[in-house]
Amino acid sequence: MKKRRKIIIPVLLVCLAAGLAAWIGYVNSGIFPSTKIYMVAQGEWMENETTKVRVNKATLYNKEQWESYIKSQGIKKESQFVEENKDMGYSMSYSEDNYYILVMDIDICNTKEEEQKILPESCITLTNGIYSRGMYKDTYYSSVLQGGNGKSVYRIDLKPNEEAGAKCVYVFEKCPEEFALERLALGRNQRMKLNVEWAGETNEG
Amino acid sequence: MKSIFKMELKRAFCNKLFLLVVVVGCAMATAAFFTTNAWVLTKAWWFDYLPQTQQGQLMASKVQTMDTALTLWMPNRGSGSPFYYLFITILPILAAIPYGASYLTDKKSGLVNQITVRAKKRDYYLSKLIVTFLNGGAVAVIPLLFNLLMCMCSLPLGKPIYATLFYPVKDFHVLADMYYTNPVLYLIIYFIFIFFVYGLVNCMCLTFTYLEENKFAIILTPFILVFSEYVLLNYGLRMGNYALFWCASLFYFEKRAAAAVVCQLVVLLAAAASYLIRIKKDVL
Repeated sequence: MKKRRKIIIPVLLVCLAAGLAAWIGYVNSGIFPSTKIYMVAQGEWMENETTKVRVNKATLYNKEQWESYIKSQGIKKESQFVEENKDMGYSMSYSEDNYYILVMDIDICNTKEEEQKILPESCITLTNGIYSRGMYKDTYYSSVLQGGNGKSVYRIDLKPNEEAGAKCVYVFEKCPEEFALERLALGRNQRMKLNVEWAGETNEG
Repeated sequence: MKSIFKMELKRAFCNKLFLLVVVVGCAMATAAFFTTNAWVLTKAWWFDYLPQTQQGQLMASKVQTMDTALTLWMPNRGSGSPFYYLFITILPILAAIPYGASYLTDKKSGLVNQITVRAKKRDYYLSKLIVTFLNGGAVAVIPLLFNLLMCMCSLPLGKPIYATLFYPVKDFHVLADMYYTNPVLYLIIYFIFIFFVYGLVNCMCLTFTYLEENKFAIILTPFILVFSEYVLLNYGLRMGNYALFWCASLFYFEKRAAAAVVCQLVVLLAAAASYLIRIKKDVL
């Protein structure tokens, strides 16, 4: 009896381990949507169910560069806009003592079979590396750079399969070391490492 | 040394109390799985998403990311469960029950004399220390591993994504980068760390046999040490996240607490090693 038990118990344990390994293998075999993050190169499309987005250029400005850039474009500073529209309840999410601005030139394409009103900056999330801390989207500058009045968010009307360019502006007080874009979609998580150019290195600013 | 070590291993692990403690730990791990969102999410993915029921189709259109085994795992999702808290709180006692007081029992029964006559004293004490360490670590790790296997049988392991905010590891936690880039390696380190901590904590049973000769007091000693330190730091100094009890789970181990935790581990290591002084001093 003792001898038989000595054989049966290890055999049962091996069978249990093999069954467990097989089941875990089945669960991980792709029956569920993937949790993999697909790396997308800058310039390629990041897709989800309703739109696809491509980044053409990302330019980073420090405070001085940005102030001289908006001056050359005839755009009011945000603080001035907020001051002038005090009664509207606008506020600023950053201190004007020191800040950085990132401007992304993107293309958006409507992949749905119906017309869509799209808010460009809601299509993607700008993060600092793997820690996807939400970076402030600056709706005022995003709006005025695209010809809006800054008082309302800028939306684009796109017919099915139509494509349009847009600018997304982000502001932060501490400049992150790296930038990434993320698009989470069930089974198709995408991340793009953003190559940012300083304004001084480009023709702008 | 080898034969004594083997004998002590057998006494520690082929032991009804060890089996009982592991079963109790695994029962708590199972209860933590079924009383939290882990079970709700598992049901949703298996019984709604896979058969594509109406609920499942709605889920697929609304949900942005797939839940993973790490989302369900006891120290993460299960931390909302009283069973997980109960397990982690009484873990020092559970770890000490099977083998913590074995030296005291050997001493009282006169077994120490019998063994040290036949073998080297040094081998006996060293084996005792190593086996106590291994036993305590094993009691801590087995239920956590059992729960992880349950989660892995429910949903794929996958990679955690910070943006989902489903995971407790933030950028100010130790090895946070590894958690989001190489979760398997992180889990291995997680298990090694908790094994090491509770192994050392269990060795306090041996150290305190110098001061206490009551078996139940010895079994309670690691719990009293670990928990009182946490209570003192948390409620006295508002520094609960520096306590070993808190940091034993890497998920909550903050980078700023690293030096404090290393100091605590060094103190524990020194206290455990002090037991070996007995090699010279013990009166047979």
